Amino acid sequence: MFGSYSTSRRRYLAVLIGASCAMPLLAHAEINPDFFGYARSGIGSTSGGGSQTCFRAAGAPAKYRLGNECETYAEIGLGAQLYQQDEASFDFASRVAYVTAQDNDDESLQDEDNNISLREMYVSGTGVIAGLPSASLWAGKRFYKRHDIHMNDFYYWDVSGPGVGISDIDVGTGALSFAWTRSEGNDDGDGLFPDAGQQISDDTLDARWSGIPVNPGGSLELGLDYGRSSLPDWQQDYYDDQGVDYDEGDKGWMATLEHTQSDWFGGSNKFVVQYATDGIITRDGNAVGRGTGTLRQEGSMWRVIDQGQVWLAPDKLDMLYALIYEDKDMDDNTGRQWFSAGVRPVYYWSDIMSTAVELGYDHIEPQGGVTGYNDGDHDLTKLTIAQQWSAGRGALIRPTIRLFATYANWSGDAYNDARESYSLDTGAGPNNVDIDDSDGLTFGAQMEVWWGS
Amino acid sequence: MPSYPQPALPRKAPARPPRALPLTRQALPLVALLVALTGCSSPLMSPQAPTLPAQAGQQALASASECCQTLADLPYRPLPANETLTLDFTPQTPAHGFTDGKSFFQAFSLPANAGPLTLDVTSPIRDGQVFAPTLLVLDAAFQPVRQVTSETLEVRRPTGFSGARLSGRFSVAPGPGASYLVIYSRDTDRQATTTYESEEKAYARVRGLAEPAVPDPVAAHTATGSLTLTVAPLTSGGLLSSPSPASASAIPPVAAPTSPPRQAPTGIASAAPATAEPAFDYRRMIEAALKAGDVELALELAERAERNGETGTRAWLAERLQTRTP
Repeated sequence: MFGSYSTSRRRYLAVLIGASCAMPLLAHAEINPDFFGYARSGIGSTSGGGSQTCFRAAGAPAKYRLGNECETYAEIGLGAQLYQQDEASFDFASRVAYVTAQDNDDESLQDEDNNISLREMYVSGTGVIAGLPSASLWAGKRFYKRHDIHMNDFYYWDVSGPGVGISDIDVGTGALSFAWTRSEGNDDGDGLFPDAGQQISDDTLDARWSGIPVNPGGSLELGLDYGRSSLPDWQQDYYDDQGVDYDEGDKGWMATLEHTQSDWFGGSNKFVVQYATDGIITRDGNAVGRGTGTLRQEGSMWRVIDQGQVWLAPDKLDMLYALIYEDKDMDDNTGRQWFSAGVRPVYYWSDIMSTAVELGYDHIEPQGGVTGYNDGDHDLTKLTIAQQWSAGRGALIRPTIRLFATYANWSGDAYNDARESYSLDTGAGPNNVDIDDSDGLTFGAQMEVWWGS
Repeated sequence: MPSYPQPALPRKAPARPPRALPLTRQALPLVALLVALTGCSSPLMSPQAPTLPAQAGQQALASASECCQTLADLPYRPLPANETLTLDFTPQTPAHGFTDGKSFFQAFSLPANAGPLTLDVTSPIRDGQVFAPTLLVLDAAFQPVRQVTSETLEVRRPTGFSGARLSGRFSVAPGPGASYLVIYSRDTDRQATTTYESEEKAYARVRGLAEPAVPDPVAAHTATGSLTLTVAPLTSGGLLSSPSPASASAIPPVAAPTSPPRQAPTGIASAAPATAEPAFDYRRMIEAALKAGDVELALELAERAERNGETGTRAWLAERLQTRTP
């Protein structure tokens, strides 16, 4: 293990030297690099002792994030326009994401909470296809037109990954985009497949029609995703031998309809309806429209979201809000219903200082076959107050430094006797409330920043 | 003087008191800390003046009395050669009826002996409006010789470190041909608008999110506002600021190596003004101007070098320009 580590380090060194040698060459070509990214980091404690506990209802794919994030997470991006002539241009972008448990100075990648991953590495050519001047042809790994709710870090449409596509084809009324992306799974991780390294490849085909004007200030986006596992003969033979029926459970599709309303109380509102089937849904994780590498997952999912930002008093008080209803109805009764609602009003004392309050509620109704967490109806409410110093007024202005206190209250015990998830999801960070606690209090400080020209 | 509503001072209490919740004892110090921070927040607040609504600013301009009859009468103040200035254009700022429109203005006399300067103008978009400036350079006889209009400024999108803004850079070689600088806004500047990227779109762009389906905001160009002007010697930026053999030659040979240039003994200093300009390395300045893409300035410097007896500079520049053009 150590040997391979030092080898890779030597390789990094070689890359570094290579990079530094290449620098003068790049400078000569007058490349103006784009530096962009995102980061959050901080420190926190749980009242009663221990590092900050983060509160997420077991069975919920998201948690309201203000004063409720326990890790350091960063994305560092570098890119550049490499070519520009007439109407044609080529751009390169790369992005490395880092996550650490935020519990020490030197945090090793050998600890499971820490990771470095290459999230983006792609080139897009705009205006390079004759007859489609506005369209971009792209290939490589990328974040592909992701849709999220900022307040609870919930991604509801995200087929990112290695891929190829052509995006933003102007069709007069809106624009069309098509993509083929790759993901990978391990058949529910049930150990049936003999070698964990031999994964199942999934293909996702994504088609979107965006920017369709439907009403004053309002526009519609329609999307269809189809995902399936791509099994080579030897994997099919193996599953045939195991008696696994992979005909249905490996495939699935998801339809998305999203309406965006601008001129909405000084902000905007998004209303989303999604329907997904079988293999494109994950039982416990989050269904994002991408193949999941599962073979035996059958069921359907409905999801309805309304979210947005409004100014309640211009320049003084704005608010993020979100409403989510999701019903995963799995044939083996391992799904659940999830209802979630949150608001984050922020009062701006000045251009720099603000006070934010975030109230979030998650309610889970598991189906009968749920194991691994509290199988009864349970809910979690969190309330955070934070004093913030930011580079301006508005919910999406960063950088921000905040001091926070978070109180959470939930139904049922926090963990089971083995300190595994019960009403609280143990995967959300350190677990420093007691097993039978039904509320908890944390406090700390955090910075959040994003940038990029 | 027109009056406009002053925004109410922020109240001390939090906007919405949290619901009564069973906070445990340990939380109290933190809550107390938060409240204390709120209470003593004024030193942390930026002293930025409130944004005057576009219409109120326009009305203030219409009713403002003109300070001066001619460009020669404007209240000029010396422009520091190496400083960042915040320039406010308010109803209290002097106004003048320029040939292309009445405007609040700021007027400066350029430092005669500073050498060529770069001027960076940045006008932030705040509350959906922006002061779109025009810069006017006057010669020693107060005749306009150059105008940099707001159309030439670039709209810079928010980067996460700074908000959306108009910005531009140009250089000027102070001398008899460029003695004064006036910053104002023309009628046409104020009739235009600036479309810029919202913070929401900036966030989506840097995080690889789908571009929000909301139109780009449009900023009105106002009669009042605020901008920053950064003045720096042309050669101070970038690689040229480091000492090098080339920069050493800029020091006149008469100066003792230990004393800074242009600080000759007092007796000589008073006799010295015969030399209108300090001896500086014209070719280095020209290089810097070319590097900044300002051919106009390079030509002007070459002319001046020729006048000061450095014959051959013009030919040298011509050669430089030829090698630059493939």
